[in-house]
Amino acid sequence: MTSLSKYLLIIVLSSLTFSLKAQSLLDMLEEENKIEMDTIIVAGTFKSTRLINGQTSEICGKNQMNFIVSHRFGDIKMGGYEFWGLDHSLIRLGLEYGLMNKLDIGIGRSNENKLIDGYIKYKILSQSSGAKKMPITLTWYSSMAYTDQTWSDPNRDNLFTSRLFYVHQAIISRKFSDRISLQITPGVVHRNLVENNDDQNDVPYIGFGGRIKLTRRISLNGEYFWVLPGKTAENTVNSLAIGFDIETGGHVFQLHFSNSRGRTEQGIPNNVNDWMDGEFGFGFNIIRNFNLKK
Amino acid sequence: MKKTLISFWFITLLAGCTYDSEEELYGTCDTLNVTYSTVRPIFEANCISCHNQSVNNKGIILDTYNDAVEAAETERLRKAINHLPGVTPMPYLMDKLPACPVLKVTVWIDNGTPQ
Amino acid sequence: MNKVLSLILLFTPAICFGQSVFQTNQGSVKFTSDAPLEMIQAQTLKIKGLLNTTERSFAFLLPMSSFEGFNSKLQQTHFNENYIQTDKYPNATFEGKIIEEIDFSVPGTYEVRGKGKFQVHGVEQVRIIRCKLTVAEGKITITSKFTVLLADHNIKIPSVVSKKIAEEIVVELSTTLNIKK
Repeated sequence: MTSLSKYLLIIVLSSLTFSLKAQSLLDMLEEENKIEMDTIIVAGTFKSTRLINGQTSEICGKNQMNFIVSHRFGDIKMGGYEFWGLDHSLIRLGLEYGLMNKLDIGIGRSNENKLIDGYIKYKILSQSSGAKKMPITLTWYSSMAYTDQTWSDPNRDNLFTSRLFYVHQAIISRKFSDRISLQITPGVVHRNLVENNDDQNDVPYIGFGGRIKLTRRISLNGEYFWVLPGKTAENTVNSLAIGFDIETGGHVFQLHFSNSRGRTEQGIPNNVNDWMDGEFGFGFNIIRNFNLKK
Repeated sequence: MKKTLISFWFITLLAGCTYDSEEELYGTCDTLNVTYSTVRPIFEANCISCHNQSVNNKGIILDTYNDAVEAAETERLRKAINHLPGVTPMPYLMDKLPACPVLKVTVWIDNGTPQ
Repeated sequence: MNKVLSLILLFTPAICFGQSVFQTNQGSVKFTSDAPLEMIQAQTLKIKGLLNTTERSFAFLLPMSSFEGFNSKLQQTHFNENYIQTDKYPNATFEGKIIEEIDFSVPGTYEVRGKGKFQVHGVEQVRIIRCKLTVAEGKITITSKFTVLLADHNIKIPSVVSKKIAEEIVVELSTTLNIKK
């Protein structure tokens, strides 16, 4: 090797080693951090357990309790005399409690149809990143509802079972980014009693919902329930709701407009309110979180 | 614990699950000879708690024959129970009544509200 | 050929030659927010650190979403989502140099100051943080107690919870570093 190339080699080698030494300690830590990742379970997909009228994939968590007031005013089309629906109120009061880390139970009563509903909600899969990756959150929701309404025709032999309604749905959600979360909820509403033989006792539907976070505490929410084609779908209008979530520490306030019937999924097959006819109303939900852990 | 909960849930799920229809249980609707005596039980079960002589919502009274005829003549009774546009749907804050009671009342009005 | 080879060999281990680096992958970090209406505490064991005893330089990395404790799960979610925004700023870091010249080969306890860039919530501040170093055979234990001013790092407290979250957070750290192999 010539003298020149020897010197060049020394210069190149020494600059290489010195630049290696110049990698900052912090850079080294960050590189290490990327390799040995823990599993991070995604939290805060939605601000609360309710999207607008329907459920989100969130659950309370152990020993947490939510008090939920779901309030809807009457339809805008009622006009000025009824103060555009504000004179009428449709309301559901509910409580839900985290029995275990992944299991919620809840109960509530709506004044529409004097419906008392009880449910369980179980988080089967949690979205996570890092060492163990899970792309979605999957929560199961099952509810049973009882209508306390007096029989429309007391003279005939009315069955107790005719007062019962069931809803079963799978809530599949994904938090795409800090700002955007979307969910899909395929489900079925079961009515024990329908009018005609060719009416559906089981009404399948798919819900679509999502939120866009506008600020750290405010998000824009949307929800749509599509009743699958069938006899019920012909006489039903799909429920559409749009609103804002405002989170203030222990409360989430949800202000929205919606055409839905009923404050729970049981109302999906009964909806005949059409947005185009002004048959939608303003509503608000308040969800207050209580920590029952000592 | 988890298994007990799941089986409990499963049982309550199936409990009381039926596939009934009114047509099957009660047959087709009988709208022959519908009189005030036929429709009064329907009013009693669904309306009279709010539409009676003391409470008298919106001037609609259904617990006496004469008042009920007056209500029928304004057309508001027919529109309300049929959930037609122009009036607040009835029963208030409930789903539309099943087809048969609605039909019976409608037929009673159409036939000139016989006593 | 042999001469070149020995020259190459001479330069390659320069990074470890004479440099002493200590490392840690765990330690206890606890913070306390003591406000008039509420006291919040949380801790984590997931701190990573490197200390170059020859240069007296150090770096620490702390994944903020690893804090556990809090007064409720919801509070932890809000900590991550609304205050620290761990989606955007996952780690708190402190990188700098120890001001005092210590002989790390002499076992003992030393009160020193670390000066460097302290970053949390994406905002860096130059800080001097006091800590106690206990040097023993092959390991160094660091303990420190210092405060972090939320306003310094653009962490805003909304007025509705102003009596529940302290403006100044007390942080306690304890970790033991071993020779990096």
